Amino acid sequence: MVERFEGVIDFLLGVLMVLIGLLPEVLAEPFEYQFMQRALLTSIVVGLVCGVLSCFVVLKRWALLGDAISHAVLPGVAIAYLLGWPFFIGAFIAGALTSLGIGFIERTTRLKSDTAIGIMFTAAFALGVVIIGQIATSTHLMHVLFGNVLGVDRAALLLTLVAGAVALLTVALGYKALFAYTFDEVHAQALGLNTAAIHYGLILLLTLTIVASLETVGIILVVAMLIIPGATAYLLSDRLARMIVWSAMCGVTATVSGLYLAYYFDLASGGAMVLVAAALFLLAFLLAPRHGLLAQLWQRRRAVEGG
Amino acid sequence: MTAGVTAGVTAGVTAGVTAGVGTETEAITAHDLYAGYHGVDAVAGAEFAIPRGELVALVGPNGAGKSTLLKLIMGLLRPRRGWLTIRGRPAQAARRAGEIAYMPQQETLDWDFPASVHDVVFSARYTRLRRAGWCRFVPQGWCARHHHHAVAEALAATGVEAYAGRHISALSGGQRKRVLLARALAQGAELLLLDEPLVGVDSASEAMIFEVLRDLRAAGRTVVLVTHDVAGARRHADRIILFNRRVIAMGAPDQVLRQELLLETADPHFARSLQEYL
Repeated sequence: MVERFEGVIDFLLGVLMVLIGLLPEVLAEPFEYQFMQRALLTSIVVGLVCGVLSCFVVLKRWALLGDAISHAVLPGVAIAYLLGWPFFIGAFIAGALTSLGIGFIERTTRLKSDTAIGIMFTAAFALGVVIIGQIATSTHLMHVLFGNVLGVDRAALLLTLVAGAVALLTVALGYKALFAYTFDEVHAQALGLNTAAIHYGLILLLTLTIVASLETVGIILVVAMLIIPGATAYLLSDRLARMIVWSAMCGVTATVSGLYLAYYFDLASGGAMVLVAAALFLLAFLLAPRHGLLAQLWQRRRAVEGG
Repeated sequence: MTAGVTAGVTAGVTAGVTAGVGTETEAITAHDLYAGYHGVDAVAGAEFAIPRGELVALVGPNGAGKSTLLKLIMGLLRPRRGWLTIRGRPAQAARRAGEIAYMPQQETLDWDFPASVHDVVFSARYTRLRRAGWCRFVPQGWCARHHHHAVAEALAATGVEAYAGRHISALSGGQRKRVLLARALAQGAELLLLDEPLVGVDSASEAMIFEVLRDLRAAGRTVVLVTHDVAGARRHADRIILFNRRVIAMGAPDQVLRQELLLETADPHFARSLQEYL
């Protein structure tokens, strides 16, 4: 099974190298190294998946929930480290448990969702901090916290590829159901859709995306990649399908540019990626054709002159 | 059928399960219905049968449990006691089959959502697409032509076809109502539930809405609208249900809008506000 995936990795890396061959010398040069080839493929997939998912995070107002799941992953990583498991299994279980716990508190008490989220994720994060305090600091854990795309090995690349493929395929096939659910939940129910399943399915996809992005941008910053591309795209488009495309482009631009910055200037890769994403948002915020600041000032001025 | 009804009643009362039976000719049948939240019954002892192909207005004071009743009809809330059926089937089954179209109040929606009028109306076809199998998985443009035909018809019937490509934030309040009505039409459901479709609508739009509803009734569909617009309901509805946790009165508008029945809603302010329509 794994060998077959190995073949897929080699194939994708091969395609990537052909494409890189078309680039000018200056841009292509870093990818002579194998670790940079893996880093590039990981970055593209992470940017793509985070970009697509971030549309739903923005539209469902799940920014805090995304932050919560990404932080809640920490104890899972720590426990998996102690037990010698692959870290992503612990991360996924912890993230899923936390999101279920949030839903449970919300449904069974009178507390509102932001409070439920605040309780669950700070508690989970604190547990992670305590466990990590007990074990000797390890560079691996630091990488999970802050990400290090240059150190991605083949196993991590494989995980990112599989998680990314699952997330993208689900969104592509379930697009119509997701549209109905995101725009009007009650109407989606009236249409006979199982909105509870869609809700938790989307949260699981979010968890999967976060886990897949851990080694690239890290726990602390992954939520930025789940908010900023979607927010940027939201200012640029008035159709969900186009917003998803813009968001994915923004995500990939951020992760790949961040990778270059990390390589040339020896920066923390996660931080560099998020800074590029933030810069893209700033551009859209100022210059977006209809929802940007300048466009709105211009419209207001014209309205005043017209009146 | 009678035996079935009796059996349903017995089961519903004794075991507290929702295993009631209505008849095929009744769009909605409710028996001894109790439901609510946090231990308070918002609907208590409701009992009614709405025949198919009628335009029915549900009228009652604030807090009368009208929204709770809508949730029961959609099968989104389980009755604590009694049962409710849609054409003889449990409400939940009817909803899952896409037989119930719902038009919400527009304030509950985010009109900045990145969607065009056409996107919103097309979303109502999902149930039909699912029946067609693979169609729900592919982009809108690739789907069978009759889905787009149904959307175009709904847009034309509500007079918003000119805005089909427009972003929904660019619509006025009345246009938003029309778009939501078009979405309910496009679903092609047997039963339409409209929650306050006449609030904030000018008289031209109101006339258009009732024209659409009359056409639906002529096509044999059943329409239930929750409304505060008693004048409109009186003029256009076949039947008015005066509701306050249970059915106070049900029948032709002139029979129902009578002083003694209004007072029985146990809400003097509400009764007074309706006096002018007597």
